Amino acid sequence: MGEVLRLALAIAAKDLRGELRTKTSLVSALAFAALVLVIFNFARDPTVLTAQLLAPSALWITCTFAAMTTLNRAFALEREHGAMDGLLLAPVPREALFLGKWLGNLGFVALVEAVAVPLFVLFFNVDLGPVLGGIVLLLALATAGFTAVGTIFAAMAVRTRFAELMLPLLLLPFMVPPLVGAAQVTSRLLAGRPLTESADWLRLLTVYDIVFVTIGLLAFGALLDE
Amino acid sequence: MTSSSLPSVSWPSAPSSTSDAGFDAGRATARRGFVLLALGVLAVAAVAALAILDTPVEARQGPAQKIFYMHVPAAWTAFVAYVLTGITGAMFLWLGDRRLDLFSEASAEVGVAFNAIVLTTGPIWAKPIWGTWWQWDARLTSTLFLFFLFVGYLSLRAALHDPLEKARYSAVVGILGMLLVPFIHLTVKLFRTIHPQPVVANPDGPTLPPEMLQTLLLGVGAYTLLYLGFVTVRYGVGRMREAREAGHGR
Amino acid sequence: MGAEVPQNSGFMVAGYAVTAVIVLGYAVALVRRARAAMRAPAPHD
Repeated sequence: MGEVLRLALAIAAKDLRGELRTKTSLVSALAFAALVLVIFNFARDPTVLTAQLLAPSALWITCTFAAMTTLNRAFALEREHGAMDGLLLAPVPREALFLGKWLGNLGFVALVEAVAVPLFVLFFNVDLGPVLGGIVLLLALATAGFTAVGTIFAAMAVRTRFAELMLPLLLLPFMVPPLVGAAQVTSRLLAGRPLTESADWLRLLTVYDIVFVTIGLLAFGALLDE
Repeated sequence: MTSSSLPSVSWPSAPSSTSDAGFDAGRATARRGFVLLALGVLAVAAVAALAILDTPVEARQGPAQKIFYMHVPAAWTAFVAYVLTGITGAMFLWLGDRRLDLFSEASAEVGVAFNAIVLTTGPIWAKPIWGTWWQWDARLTSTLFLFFLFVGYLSLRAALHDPLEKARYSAVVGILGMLLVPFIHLTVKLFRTIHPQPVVANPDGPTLPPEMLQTLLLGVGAYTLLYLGFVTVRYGVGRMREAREAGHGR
Repeated sequence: MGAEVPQNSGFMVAGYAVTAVIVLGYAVALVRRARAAMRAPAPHD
């Protein structure tokens, strides 16, 4: 068990180091997030739809798209350099591979979110101070969930010709429960409601995470064995 | 080494007697399917006639409510089709029998047809009753998601070329999709609890009058027969195609 | 009960028509595919 975790962290660290070394994907993801936020601000009638009303949607859709662009790259790099075969031939338990890929993706998306959220505060003029804990919890729960599913699908999509299309096609339905939950709770928090009122949604998010991480651990064996 | 232990898959290789046997089996199955399909179509037609001509009109909704007798059984059947796709996919991962994968594929394609019925009759029914073409209620929303899941499943199959990869990957997608459905249900339910949508007329009603219930149940039966017909033929087609591909060698 | 029953049979007809088109359309397409698969030379021919 400890061995699996150690291998997973090693894989995650390698992926993150690789992404950060080039920096292009991080910068692109951040620029993309900023652009989405800007467009959200302008693509509305401000007298009808206030920033506060729009804020939860804007935040979470930005995080969705950032995650999507990250996941597309999750396996592409290995594919390009043929490193995947090396990884598969090495006696790495498939659970460790999933865990490593997932944590790596999670780390990268978390980085993007860490910059996107302050941008969001800046552009939308929302005061996150009193609710920061709740928002961070939501970010953790929702991101963990859709990166887990996204990691599974990225592994499959990368073997198809139109991976950039295949991944969103497969993944977007799965992003709905975490997204809806996160957005609903965010709007409650911004309206001053206590986090305890959203216990139902938080439960949904948590169960979702547990279910799909478990499946990821189990499924990677089926996907990657020859 | 690796911790998973998938059984070896029984794969026909070329050319051998297994591909001939597979082709003949496929052809025989398709022929049986034709009969079932004909019966299914007749059954659905009979229920349609029953619904239009002999079932009482719902007083508040008018004749348009009768779409219900096609819409609800189709929704149920689409859902069953998806669950079967998921289950046979899981069984394929466990047992390795290629025929399970072929059934999974057949059920997915057939499911899209029933899904199409739900998604078209839904708005046609909703417009006169609720004034809007669409409602984010549990049934329509779940069926819409089912549509996305079916399309994802079939697109992935089309995009992969190695048969083993295709079968394994789509099995995983099928299982994941099955697991998603309860989450979608829950999401819609939670959403609607907080944002109650105006419920003008609950079409299903807490209690359906016996004549309507009877027609509905007959509808479910007819659609089930239709599903069996479609899936049998489609499965036969799949087996014939696969036997031919194996016969020509790879 | 004083309310009149709504006159919306047009929608009913539309609904049933659409269902018929989908069911019969798919049935015909599927049967043709099956017949074509049967007609083509079998692997052992």
